[in-house]
Amino acid sequence: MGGKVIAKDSLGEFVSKLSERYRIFGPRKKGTEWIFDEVRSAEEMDLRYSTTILPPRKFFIPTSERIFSFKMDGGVEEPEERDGPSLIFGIHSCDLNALLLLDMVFLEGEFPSPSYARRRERTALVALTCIDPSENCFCESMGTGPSPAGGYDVLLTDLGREYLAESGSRRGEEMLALAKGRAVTAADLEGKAKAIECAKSKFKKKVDLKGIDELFLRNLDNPVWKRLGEKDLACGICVNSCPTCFCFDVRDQLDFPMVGGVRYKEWDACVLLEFSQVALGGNFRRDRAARIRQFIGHNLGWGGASQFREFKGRAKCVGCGRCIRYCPAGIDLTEVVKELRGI
Amino acid sequence: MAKPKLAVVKMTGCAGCQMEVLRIEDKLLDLVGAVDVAYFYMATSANRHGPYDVALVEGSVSTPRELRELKELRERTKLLIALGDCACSGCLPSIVNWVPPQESAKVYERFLEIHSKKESFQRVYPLSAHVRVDLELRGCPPHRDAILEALKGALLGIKPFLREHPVCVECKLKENVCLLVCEGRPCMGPVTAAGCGAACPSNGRVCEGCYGPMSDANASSLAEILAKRCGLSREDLIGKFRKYAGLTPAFSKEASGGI
Ligand code: SF4
Ligand code: SF4
Ligand code: SF4
Ligand code: SF4
Ligand code: SF4
Repeated sequence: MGGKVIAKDSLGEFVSKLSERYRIFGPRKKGTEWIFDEVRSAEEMDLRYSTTILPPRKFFIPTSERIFSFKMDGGVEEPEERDGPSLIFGIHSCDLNALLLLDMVFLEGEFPSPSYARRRERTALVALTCIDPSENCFCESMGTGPSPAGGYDVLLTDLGREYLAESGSRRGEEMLALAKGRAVTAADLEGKAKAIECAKSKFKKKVDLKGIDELFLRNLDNPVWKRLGEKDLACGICVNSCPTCFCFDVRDQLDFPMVGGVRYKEWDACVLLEFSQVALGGNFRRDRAARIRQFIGHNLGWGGASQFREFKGRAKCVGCGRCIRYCPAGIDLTEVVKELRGI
Repeated sequence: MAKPKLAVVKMTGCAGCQMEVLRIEDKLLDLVGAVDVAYFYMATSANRHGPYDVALVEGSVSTPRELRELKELRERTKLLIALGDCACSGCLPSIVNWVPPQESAKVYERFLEIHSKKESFQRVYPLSAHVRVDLELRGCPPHRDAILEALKGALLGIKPFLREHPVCVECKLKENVCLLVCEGRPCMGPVTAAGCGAACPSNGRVCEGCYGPMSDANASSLAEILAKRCGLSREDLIGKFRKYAGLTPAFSKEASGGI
């Protein structure tokens, strides 16, 4: 696939050209943090962002979503989707890989989701090589960063005064045709390789993936879980921050005159008590220890190749570091792995 | 078929919860169409005595008269719903339980002449301390959507969906900057039941815990975090956990200073 080198000064023009065809969502500063939000120009974005509060999965699986409306005397109506093409600008490598994992669940799984498929289809992705990983990142360990191997339409790498823009799809080619820039040289590719090497030297957190499925299965009764259960607040922040979590709850809500209502789904989290509750108050994971074990175990142990065969040698976790950054109790899954390994 | 009879009754509370029932404005007419409002002192002067199908009871029990009324009401009511924190967990009136009488006397100049004080119990308790309660609608006040949800459930005979998970869930889903983690401010969100739509954090204020404990509140861990991260003193922590639900088993240890 082709590429271009775009001067930083010309990025604004590129974005404004893109905005004629797409609704653009990019990283925008919010207080001390960042969120992916609709933007109209390059100036509204902060491409040096660390991470966002909610992961980009919010665009494909909305936090809360109507499945259909119903009438009590029969009749079901599905919502119409009228949204046009959109674009996520500046998605990091971990989050991009997270979408590839969600594809396995919602596109290639036993029960594909038509709404997920539609949204994936109409959403272009402009990815960004991370040249300055933040203190909680460990995508390198997880094989998901700091620069993505594929899955993007366009990949931008900061070369200092310019961006190297590589296309990864037909759509990406068309997008790059809108950009003003010069041809790519061998020196530019070398610059990218160097930027990646430099980024790799900055990672502070690491996870050793060797035999990790077994490590977790062997340690289901490790006292570490009980200790974590005592600290854990069961607040759900970790799951709701996680780019690869895919669990949701389905509920019915009646209108007041009670002639009809809506069935909707909302993000759910296995660290919450209600998650594993069944009829008559039965609960498979009443203890917080069992629930935090599920979150960490699913992300690093049994959510990897054992659940998604295509995900050879990888885990569900893509190493974005959000669950560490935002956990009020300071629970850090990379430290838990070390403890399980007896390091 | 006769419409189900609804009563809205007040014990010791600020009347804010009843106000919230009135604030269902846009649905109020539908509500009046679906139920027969048989008793609601704040809204009508045509009040009738039971039996009732559903009673929403605001306030905690602080006098012998209230206790008598509550017991009678229970006998005349099919579904008794505790409306708001005072009725569910004691809330602000129950702070008196932690305060020696001499202390209250310092606040109120002519303490012994306060009428309600003369005839009242020394201690204030939620409804469930005295009678069987079929459903608790928490919050100070409960969100009107939750009140509607409870009434729908009562009318249809199905379990209403009330959020038992913490405020943090609603807060995160709104993509707020976390006040506790990012700004080091003492937020009670992680131990507090949701339902308010994370009203305070969404407006830049810490959660004060007004919905009482969530389903699996880890009060001791949060107390430790608030002390370490936000520098709260033992006194501060006692205040935080006492304020709305100090009498609940989930908060009582922290509320009594056993931190
Ligand atoms: S964010 Fe931390 S405290 Fe909250 S549920 Fe997750 S691990 Fe537990
Ligand atoms: S488990 Fe934590 S670090 Fe891993 S992808 Fe999820 S939020 Fe990111
Ligand atoms: S970690 Fe928990 S919430 Fe996330 S996908 Fe797994 S089971 Fe679901
Ligand atoms: S601001 Fe408070 S309620 Fe919101 S996520 Fe943080 S601790 Fe939870
Ligand atoms: S955020 Fe907390 S204090 Fe504010 S309304 Fe909700 S429960 Fe009450």
